[in-house]
Amino acid sequence: MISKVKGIEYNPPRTVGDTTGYTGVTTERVVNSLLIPGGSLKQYDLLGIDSRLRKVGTVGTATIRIRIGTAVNTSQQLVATYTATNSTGTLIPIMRRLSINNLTNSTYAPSVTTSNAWDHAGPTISWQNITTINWANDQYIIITSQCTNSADTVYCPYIITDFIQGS
Amino acid sequence: MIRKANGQNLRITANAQVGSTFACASETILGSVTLPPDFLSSGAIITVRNSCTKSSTSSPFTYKLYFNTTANITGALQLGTFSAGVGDFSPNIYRRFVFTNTTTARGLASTFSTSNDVGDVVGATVATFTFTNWLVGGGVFFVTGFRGSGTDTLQLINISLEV
Repeated sequence: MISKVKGIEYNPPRTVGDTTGYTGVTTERVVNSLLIPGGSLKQYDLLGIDSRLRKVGTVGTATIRIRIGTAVNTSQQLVATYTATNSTGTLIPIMRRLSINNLTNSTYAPSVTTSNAWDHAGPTISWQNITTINWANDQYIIITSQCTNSADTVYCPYIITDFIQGS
Repeated sequence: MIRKANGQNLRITANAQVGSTFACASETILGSVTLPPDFLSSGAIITVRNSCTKSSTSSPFTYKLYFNTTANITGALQLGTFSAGVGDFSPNIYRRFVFTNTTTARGLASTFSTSNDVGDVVGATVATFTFTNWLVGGGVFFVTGFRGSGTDTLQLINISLEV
């Protein structure tokens, strides 16, 4: 899973392979996570996050969320939300580019509660300054799912991050 | 500004420093990213992407992407545009370009108004963009804003140039 550009390895954190299936509840639950070690990012860097749910079953819709925090649970800082528009939407993506305006207390993201699959697809969505993420410390990228019907099963095939160094 | 892995340049970006606030009563440069000389070669495929935040809902803006040897609208090559409506709080431009040689790139027509060139960009045509000494000499990609009416302001959130 290591990318190469002209033979040069580039290996930002990512997960590998499908998770186990999650089913049986309609509450938000963690389906995947990865660690961003403290100090990996710096002020004015950009952090890309790319993930998706794979849903088996078409009884209800599903919501994917990105949360970031110092522990892996559904109480951590919400960063992004996307709800599939109908129950037959079984590949549910979420892609964001976060701007680290200040390492300890200012990360910009599109409105965290507004449903949107990709930040460049939603120019009507306002930006939000998240003040609770300190990138000097270890932070987890957490992917959660929430199904409207407990009969559906979801998997998370990947979380991919992209580090772009600022000036 | 240059992303490195194992000491090698992989991608370049401007930064995620939230920029100054501009009224854009006339066409105003919001931010830029530098293309160093000899950084790319013929055949390179690049993505230029950026995002702004708009202060309120009173103004439409015309948002444009350019390339020039310096961040100067005069003599610049227009590469893209997006006409942001009053409700577009996060106007942005996302474009991909393919360099067919060191002076010529191909991409979405520069006057076709859309925020991104991914998906169902119906009716769009491909354009050829030519700039003297483009890859060898390098230069600057930059975005501008121009307010159509009202009192809203624009602020750049980030701009990046990626390979």
